[in-house]
Amino acid sequence: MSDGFRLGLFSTIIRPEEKWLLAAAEARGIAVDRIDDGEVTFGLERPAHLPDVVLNRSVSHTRSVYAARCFAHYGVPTVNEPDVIDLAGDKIRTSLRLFERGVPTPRVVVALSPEAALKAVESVGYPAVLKPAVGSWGRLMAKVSSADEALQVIEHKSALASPIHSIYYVQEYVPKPDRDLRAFVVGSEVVAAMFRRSSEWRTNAARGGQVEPAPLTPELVDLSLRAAAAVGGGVLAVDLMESPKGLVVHEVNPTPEFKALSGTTGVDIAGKIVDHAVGIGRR
Amino acid sequence: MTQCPECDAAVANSAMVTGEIFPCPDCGTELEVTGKEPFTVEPAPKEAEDWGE
Repeated sequence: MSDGFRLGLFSTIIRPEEKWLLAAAEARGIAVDRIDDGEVTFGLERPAHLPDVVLNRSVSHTRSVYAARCFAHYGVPTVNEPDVIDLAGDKIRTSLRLFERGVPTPRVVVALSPEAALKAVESVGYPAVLKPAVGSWGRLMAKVSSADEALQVIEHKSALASPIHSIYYVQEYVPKPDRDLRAFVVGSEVVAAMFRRSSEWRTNAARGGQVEPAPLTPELVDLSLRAAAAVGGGVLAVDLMESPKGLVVHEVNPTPEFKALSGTTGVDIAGKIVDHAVGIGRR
Repeated sequence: MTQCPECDAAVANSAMVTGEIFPCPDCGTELEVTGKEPFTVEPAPKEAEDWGE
């Protein structure tokens, strides 16, 4: 491919995923402009040289949102779109949207002050899970089984500097097997899925959870595509739990990692992402 | 070849690309490749609160 098409790779650091994306682009003859999220600047006027599409791989949610907004301002499409990153990176907005669209999701109560947070926890019932509205990798999540525990967590959260920690996202604890599910959506396709297993209640692969391939059952595919569509679609990792009432979606990740998923399933996810981004850039 | 900014250990160039993170073989500090020719490294960026997926 030597028609001048350029793929922008917007990133913070280069992990195996980004190396695989670079290799997939090279294998397809696609030129890549690497854009370091710590170096780039954005003016109001459109720069002369821009890629045809930007693939967002920044690990910073804040940088991702503003960069995607700036690229959109220049008329450069991004994967994912700014509104998708903005929405799916916020657990409160994601829960609202999933519920609005009829996607089964755990019960959530939001509180805006430490005083109201205990009421939110009591309303959800014990055990309950407190999560930061923005954040990932299982960081700063807490499972509380009593009012004493809840009060301690609420007090600690209210002492943290960022105002976002004084917004309380309380989710019901879903009794599930010692595993959850991750399905990877690229455009209109679920390309792979895996179980994440852990003896701990958090099953994130980033926390050392063990992974194994999961079958793409009709229920899993249908729910994953509906969850992805609910937040606006694109390249998304949908996290699900096997509740007693069936699958529920608890998170949709807009800048997903896929090292563990590619490793356990053998699916060339990087190639599928590059093909998807190039397809958008050529529209 | 360059030196780890934390412990001065010799750090060798390999197949790594700019932006890649690796641990110093001596002290374990996470380092980021900041240049290839010449090979340069800096301490890797610290994980921020909004980092994730």
